[in-house]
Amino acid sequence: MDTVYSFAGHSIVPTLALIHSNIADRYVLMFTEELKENKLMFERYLKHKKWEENEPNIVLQTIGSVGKFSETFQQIKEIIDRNQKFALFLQNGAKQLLMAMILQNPDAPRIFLQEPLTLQIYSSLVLQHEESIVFSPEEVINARGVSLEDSLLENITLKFDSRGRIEFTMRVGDVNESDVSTIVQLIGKFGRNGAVYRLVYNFATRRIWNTIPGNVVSIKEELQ
Amino acid sequence: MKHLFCIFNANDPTPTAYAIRSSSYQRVTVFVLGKENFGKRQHRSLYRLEKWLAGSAKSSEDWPRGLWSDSWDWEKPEAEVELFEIESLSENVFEAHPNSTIIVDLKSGTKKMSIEMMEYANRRFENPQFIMSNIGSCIALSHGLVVPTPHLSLNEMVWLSSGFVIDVDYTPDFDSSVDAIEHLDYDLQRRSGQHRYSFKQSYLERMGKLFSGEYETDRYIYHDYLEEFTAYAMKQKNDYVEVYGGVRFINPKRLKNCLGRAEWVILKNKYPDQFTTEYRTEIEAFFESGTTEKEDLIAYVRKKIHTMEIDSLALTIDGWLIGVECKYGTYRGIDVDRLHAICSRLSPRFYPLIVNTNQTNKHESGVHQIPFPMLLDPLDSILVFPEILPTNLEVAKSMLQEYPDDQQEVELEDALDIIHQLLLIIKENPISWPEFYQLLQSQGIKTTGLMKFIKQHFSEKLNFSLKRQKNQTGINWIVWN
Repeated sequence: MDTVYSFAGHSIVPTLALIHSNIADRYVLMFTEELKENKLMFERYLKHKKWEENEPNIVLQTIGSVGKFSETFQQIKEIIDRNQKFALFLQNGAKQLLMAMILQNPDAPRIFLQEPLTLQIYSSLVLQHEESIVFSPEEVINARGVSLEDSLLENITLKFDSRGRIEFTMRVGDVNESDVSTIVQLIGKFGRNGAVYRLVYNFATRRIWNTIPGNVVSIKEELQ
Repeated sequence: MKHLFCIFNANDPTPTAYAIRSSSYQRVTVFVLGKENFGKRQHRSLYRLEKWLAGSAKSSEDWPRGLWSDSWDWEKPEAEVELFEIESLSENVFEAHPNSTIIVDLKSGTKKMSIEMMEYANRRFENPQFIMSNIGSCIALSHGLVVPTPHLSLNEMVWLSSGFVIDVDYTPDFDSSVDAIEHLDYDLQRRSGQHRYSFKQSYLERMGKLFSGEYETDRYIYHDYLEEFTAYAMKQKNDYVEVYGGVRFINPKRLKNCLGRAEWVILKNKYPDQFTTEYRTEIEAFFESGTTEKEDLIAYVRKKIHTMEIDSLALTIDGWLIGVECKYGTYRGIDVDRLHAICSRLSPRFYPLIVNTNQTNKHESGVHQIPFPMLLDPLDSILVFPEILPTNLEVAKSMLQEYPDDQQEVELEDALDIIHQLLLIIKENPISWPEFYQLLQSQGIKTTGLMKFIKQHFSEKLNFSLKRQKNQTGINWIVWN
């Protein structure tokens, strides 16, 4: 396949799965105006990214606001080069943009990401091919402008969970304000639903406990 | 003939209703997908859509003559609408007269369902048109255009999203609104050690308020006018489609409760008003027989059959229902909680707003609270949406919404799937033991011997151990290894 066209989304994992899949030579990622900061971060990530094998050609395009449908509709039409063999990645993006893209290109293969990290390629409604994608969880944090050495990740380990979601685990003895602040910063960076956040701790006062965001998995255990 | 196909939005029928209203269709087919798996919530949504299609939320003919107000009804859709129950989408479910113009709405349903709708409609018909209906506009996906569409009325929006009808005291008229805003005059006054905004007396007099010179009576003019002003300020803005003042929410499906409540409020009141004192015998007779010839008595009872009330209600062009309480001077946390509770009970489409006389605005306990002059600011700055993180219990509850919840007395053995799923969810979003078993009870699952059952069937498989705590609180009743 020559090119895969995709919208960028709030979650970075589907985009990373796509560009690490080797299913095409070129990937065109469309960022709506609302996601322009994510685009800048992703540009920086690609600049420093070291590819083990063939480096794919990745093009980042800015398109209009998700709220300005007519304008964005026209831009998508102009971006897609119909002279090539191409497919549409449908995991990210607002429904109206995805539907418009399919309607403009009804015969193009459609690609979805299934848990855990499996790309499925459909022709119309029929599954044609699927493959598991392998990349390191470090890629996810790098793509959001964070490195493993970053102080934000002190006391924190990361891995993909069984569903292929990035999972941050913080291990501390007594939980303090700074620990909670770190977790809140992580949530701000990776999104409430963009990752799994776990806090393994030995002791937390009721006051601190009340400040831990509700979506953090808190596990009390005796630490060695 | 224009024929619309759309999917029934099972958790909130509002998008389905505005798809039906998006144009003048002659026929509409609404696919009701997987009804056999519907829980109470989805059945209630379907009921609301059916009533909406009938043009009235009136549940039965048992309502005492004259008590149901015609203003609570709406114009029913012109189209012939068919609710078509199907297990899954396929090419065969699309039936239409030859030569029909086919329009397919893709707003409701998952991305996968929408893609299937598109694919099957394309196979079945020549050149179907695809749209996505929104509140007040419709995206013509095939052409890349956005076209304006009629709004649903506020009464319809409230019914569809919450199952209540509204009875209102007044609709602010536009000319008075312009007058109220154009001549608005207020200042900062020091009261009880704090500076507060206050309308100037000259302004209130200009707006037709009569002052007696007695503080005890005059002070209520300020209180009452804050409600009026709020309705005026919203009325004269283009961001709002409809505005009402003095809004009561009535549950039309619970006639007996409505009447019971009214009887209690009117007859058991320690300090009955003049009307009750004067007509007590007739009122008692009405509650006994359900009939009366006195129209003013019916009108009086009608104002007492509501479940909840708020000062103002407005529908924005984006489909938000702004529920407003006005507070002149000091108010308590319980007032904030009350408004939050009312709006939460109604629907997630409701946005609670307190309009007060404080100097600054704040967002507390899920309620935005603004000083009245701020009502003149752009709507964007009035509506604040801080990121609200769902609690673990909400996460677990949302999982259970995918299961039918109207079954009764399900044996533990028959609920293996649900329990398994719920355990996986709470592994990541821990909740307490009482919350866990109450969630299962809400699904009609017998919880006797639940702890033992979980230990026996899941602890080894999912690798956890259980420990029963004395006080039963906290999340450590389950320890993941």
